[in-house]
Amino acid sequence: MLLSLMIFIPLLGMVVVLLLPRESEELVKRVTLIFTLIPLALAVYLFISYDRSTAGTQFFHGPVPWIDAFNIQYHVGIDGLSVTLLLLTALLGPICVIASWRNIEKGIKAYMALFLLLETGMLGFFAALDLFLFYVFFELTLLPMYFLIGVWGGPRREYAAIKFFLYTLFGSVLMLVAMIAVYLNSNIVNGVAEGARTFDIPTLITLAATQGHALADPDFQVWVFVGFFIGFAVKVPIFPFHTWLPDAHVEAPTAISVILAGILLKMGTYGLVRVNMAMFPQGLAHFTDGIGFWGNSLALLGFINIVYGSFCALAQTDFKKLVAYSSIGHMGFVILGLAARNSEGITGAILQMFNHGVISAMLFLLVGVLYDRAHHREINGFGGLGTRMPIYTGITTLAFMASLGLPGLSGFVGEALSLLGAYDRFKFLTILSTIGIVVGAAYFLWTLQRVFLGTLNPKYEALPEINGREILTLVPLGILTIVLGVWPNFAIDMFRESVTNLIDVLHAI
Amino acid sequence: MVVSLIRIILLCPLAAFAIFGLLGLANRRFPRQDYLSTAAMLIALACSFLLLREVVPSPEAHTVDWLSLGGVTFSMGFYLDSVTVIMLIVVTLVSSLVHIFSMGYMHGDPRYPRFFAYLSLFSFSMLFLVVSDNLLGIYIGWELVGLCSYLLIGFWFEKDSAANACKKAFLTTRVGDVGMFIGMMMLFTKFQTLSLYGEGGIFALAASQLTTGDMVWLSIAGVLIFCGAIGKSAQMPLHTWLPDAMEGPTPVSALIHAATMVAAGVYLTARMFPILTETSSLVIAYVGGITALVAATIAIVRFDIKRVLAYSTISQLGYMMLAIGAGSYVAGLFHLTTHAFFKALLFLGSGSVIHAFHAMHHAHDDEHDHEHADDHEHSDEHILGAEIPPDQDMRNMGGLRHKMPITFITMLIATLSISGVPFIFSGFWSKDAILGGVLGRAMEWNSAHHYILFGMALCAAGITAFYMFRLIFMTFFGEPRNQEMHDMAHESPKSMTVPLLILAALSLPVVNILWFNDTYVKPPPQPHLHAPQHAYVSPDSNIGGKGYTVSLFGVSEAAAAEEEGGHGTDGTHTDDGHHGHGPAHAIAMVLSIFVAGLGIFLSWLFYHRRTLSAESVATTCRPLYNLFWHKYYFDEFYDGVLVALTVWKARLFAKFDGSVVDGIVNGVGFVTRDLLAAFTGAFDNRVVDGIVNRVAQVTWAVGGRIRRIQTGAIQTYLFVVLAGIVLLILIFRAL
Amino acid sequence: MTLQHYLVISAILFTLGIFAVLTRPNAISILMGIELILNSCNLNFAAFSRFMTPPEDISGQIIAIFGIVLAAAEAAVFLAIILAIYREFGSIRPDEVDTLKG
Repeated sequence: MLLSLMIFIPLLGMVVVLLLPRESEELVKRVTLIFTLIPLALAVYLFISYDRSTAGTQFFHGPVPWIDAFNIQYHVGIDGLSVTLLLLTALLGPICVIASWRNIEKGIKAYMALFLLLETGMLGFFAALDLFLFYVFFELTLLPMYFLIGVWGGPRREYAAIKFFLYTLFGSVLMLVAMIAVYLNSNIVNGVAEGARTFDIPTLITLAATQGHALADPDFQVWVFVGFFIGFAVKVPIFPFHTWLPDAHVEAPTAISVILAGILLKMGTYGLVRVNMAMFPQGLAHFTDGIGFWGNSLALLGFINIVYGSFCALAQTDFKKLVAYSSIGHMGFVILGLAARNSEGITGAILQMFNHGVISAMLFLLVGVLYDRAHHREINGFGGLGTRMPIYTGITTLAFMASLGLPGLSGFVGEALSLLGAYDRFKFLTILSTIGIVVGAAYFLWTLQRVFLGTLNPKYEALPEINGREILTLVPLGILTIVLGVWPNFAIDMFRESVTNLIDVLHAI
Repeated sequence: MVVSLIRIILLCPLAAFAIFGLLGLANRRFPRQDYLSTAAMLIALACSFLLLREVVPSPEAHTVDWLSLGGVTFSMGFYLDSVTVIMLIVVTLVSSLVHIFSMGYMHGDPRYPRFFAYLSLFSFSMLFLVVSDNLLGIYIGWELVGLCSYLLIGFWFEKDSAANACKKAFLTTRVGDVGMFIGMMMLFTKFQTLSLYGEGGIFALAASQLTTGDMVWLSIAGVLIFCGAIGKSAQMPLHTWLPDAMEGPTPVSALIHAATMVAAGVYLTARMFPILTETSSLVIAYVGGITALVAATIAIVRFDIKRVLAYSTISQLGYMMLAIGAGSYVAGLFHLTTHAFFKALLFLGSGSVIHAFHAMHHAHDDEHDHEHADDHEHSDEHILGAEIPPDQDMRNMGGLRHKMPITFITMLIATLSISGVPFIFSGFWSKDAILGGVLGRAMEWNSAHHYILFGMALCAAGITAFYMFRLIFMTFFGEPRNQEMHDMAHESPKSMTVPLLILAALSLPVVNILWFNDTYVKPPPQPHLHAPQHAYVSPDSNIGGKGYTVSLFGVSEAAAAEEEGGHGTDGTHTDDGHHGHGPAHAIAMVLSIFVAGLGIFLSWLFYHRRTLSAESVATTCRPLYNLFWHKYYFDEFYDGVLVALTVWKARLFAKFDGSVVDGIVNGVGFVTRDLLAAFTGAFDNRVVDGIVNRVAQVTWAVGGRIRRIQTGAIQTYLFVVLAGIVLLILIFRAL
Repeated sequence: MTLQHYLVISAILFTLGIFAVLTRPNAISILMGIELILNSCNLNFAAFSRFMTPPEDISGQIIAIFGIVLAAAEAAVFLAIILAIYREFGSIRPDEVDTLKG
């Protein structure tokens, strides 16, 4: 019940915001902030009271029948993986509202309303336990995102928004097909239909592990795996489905970039874990067993993402595009870790998901701070800002260092664990992937040098220092970065059992 | 007690940094960050000395679970043995002195508090590295010191040269770190742990689980771990960052790039000693030996006083690596400590000189409003070595011994120490221990490799004596070459000279007494070190029996063997002892005194008596001189080939991404919208809609005919209806 | 009286009604004809109900009553339409109101 409350409070907020008069902008912002703070409080409560010692889902609501004709139910619940991502989502909500406080110039009411709708979609996605509900929430995020980019974005916003929308839709159509295939086969045992079909994820996971069930058929699993995989791969994004990302990021307003990198990308990897890995272990095995081309393909994709993303980032001169490509590189570690199919790899991948959410959110906020002041993002157009904006420089250095995987900060733990896990199975690819670590350091340090070091560009002698509101958005993320770097068990405690459980499923085949 | 002391040692500097960072967020400063940081270091120093009393011969480990997964747990903990304690003392001592020195040297810098905060962070990281009991912890400290090095080299980041140098330092060391990380992954995959000590630690597992078939694997892992040390300790071929790192303030050069951080590589290699195999040891020894020799030759031709010292550091670090690779564990670490003191002294001394000149500059050049404006005149020295800041150029110095007596005396002591002038200077003992150790191993194993290594070390020792005295002669002796600058030079303030004096005292052997006590530092056994075939140890004997190593003053079996009592000793190796009377040591000592003397003598001839002309020698050996001057063209190679290649590749990828991958996406969009959609649109217009229109037309035409029936008169209709009904009735009747 | 008698009366009424509807030029007369037709039907209902079903079943009679009520309502509507037509066309002769002519 609590969980449902949390999911739908932003939706309620949207209704409230829509009822407010258009002129009272301050009120709209405050109301939005309140309606994002409530889910945060609930998320913190869930995080604290979550029982860390078991792998099972908790805080159920449902299953409540929703569309009886197809046995679709409203069913939400969280396990260790979802609770961390829910916390991340709920945390980024108010941060993004605060970040949008001053720099959304038109239609603040519609913006905030759409943002709240988006938040409901994201929260619901991470909590959904019914495959259909899962899909509905997945699609629900698409629509507000389309408008948020397409209306409040930069000069090429329409192009970026349509590209984002169509790309994701392309993926989700394949996912839908796969989902229907799963549904239609969900009551076939040994070729005979018996009982009702279902969309319920926990049930499907059990069925997919049952001997003789149609869902447990290896060939079926491989094909369905591919369908879901492409759907999620677009979202992650995995090479070669990534090109919507730089465009969307460059055009989107700061707060939306934060959500895009912080949460939406995680929806892809979360889906991979929740559906592809847990439901289709044999499909997964086909792509990660290390035999032949297909057996290495998932790790290969991870490797390509890491190296390709890093090299592309190195060549960028647009600050935001650089961060966008760095995201592609970092998500590669997640894929590599998942491909490893062992506790180090999967834990590393999940940590990396969470940490990347925090760190990339920081990076995009920081880019936004600079853009608000200088009105451009050309890396070579700055220089020597370190003398003018010491606090900003300090926080940026922290975020860069976290992102390039400096030990002691959170980025390291996820990367290191992913690599450690992956090395166990894919030695060659993992060693090659470490190139990404060096290149990652290279582009961040080079950027640091071009923007902050050297002599101060006379154009920016009067650039104001980062202000209190902006610091307020960055500090919670900075603290998380340090805390998780120093004490990773803080997060791992949440999903250790879930990972163990998942590995049992993976090894049961 | 021990644990809380270590905690205090770690937390004090960390707190000093944290205070700076937290206040910094609010744009405030602690009023006296310098006192805060220095006090933190002094507390840490005191605690380290307390630990010296606390430490027990048997190592202690204290761990907590840092990261626990389903099956695997990574623990973090402290490991305290004699080496740790000595390292703790070295780090805290040098760090404290550098803190005090910096109060004078950095005085008036606009970012004065930040400097101390960075120093604190560095000290914390370095100490964390030292006390860690596992590879992961070491790696964390390892990268953090790299970060601090980055921040401090780039402390005056307005200078482009500094900005370049810090980036280069970080990236170069990271290349090595990646190698180290791969090595860690190899070890982890094999042993499922990264802890080094204890029952389940890597060393115990390696000793018990590995067979001779694993030796190649273990060698590769060892060399990969050593890659980290190559980067951090600026060994060939990743040494090029260290000379550039001299862009940082001189106290930083003393602390990080001479005494502590760069020595971390040696420390790591020493820590990994138990898993070094014969092959990996040899690789390490060769890397060290080549580095020692090459860096020394480059140092001969430098004119920048700090760069001479930088190459000297690289060379000395190579020495230590050579020692550890050749099995002289204790000697390597011994040299690490003595080198930390005398090299810190040399750097601080050079800082004192620079400071003297620097103040002059400041007085002269008022239009440079920045404190370190003269440093702006730096250019890309790292490529061409052409332009040297005037206050660091030895060609502007000369005759300073009267102006700066304390600096002169203390630097002379350090130079005597590094050159290996016998008996009263610590450098002699440590260097001799290394030479003796290498020669001892060469004789014991009758191995050509170790004779070559010994030759390299000996050459390097001679060259070291030569260029160090060249530095002294050019700086302090002779006539002032730049009268104007000379007139303005002055002795440095007390806060700077006192640390110099303390460090000078530390360059005397008496304070390094711990190293002369063979029971205090004992080399760990190396179960995987296989002596060459003729070795007298049977291959199937137990671990202790196999572990031969060279201790401070001679070759001896490992402690374990010693305890087992007289097993495996047949007297072919020299006995260990406090005074090094074995043949290897005697030979080494004589040779080292000879080459040191030769080096000093030649230096005297060249740079003091000027009987020989350095210029004419340089002209005669032009190609060789060019090679040295251009530092063996490493920078040219890296910048011209590797960096260019990487950037080129990045551009290529980005272009590929923009044109091909995105091109495909946009192409699909184009095909869909402009071709497919256009065609469909046309089809829809012409064909589908055409059919619809046809149907409408036909209907229209038919309707036109039929409408005549509609008369508009109701009664007509009704008649028709009636007729219809009648007709229907008739039909039904008929049926 | 048998059912036949009623049916014959009803048929006569019906035929008269049809005749009136088809031949009278006046709309009011047409309405009268329609009323005749309706009443012939009502008569049929009542008659069939009386003779063909058990006595307690009076549904035919009820339908007849409904029919009468409907006829009244219909007449009202019809008259209203005729009024409207008269206002529009100035005549109530159906053959002069032929705008529906195709």
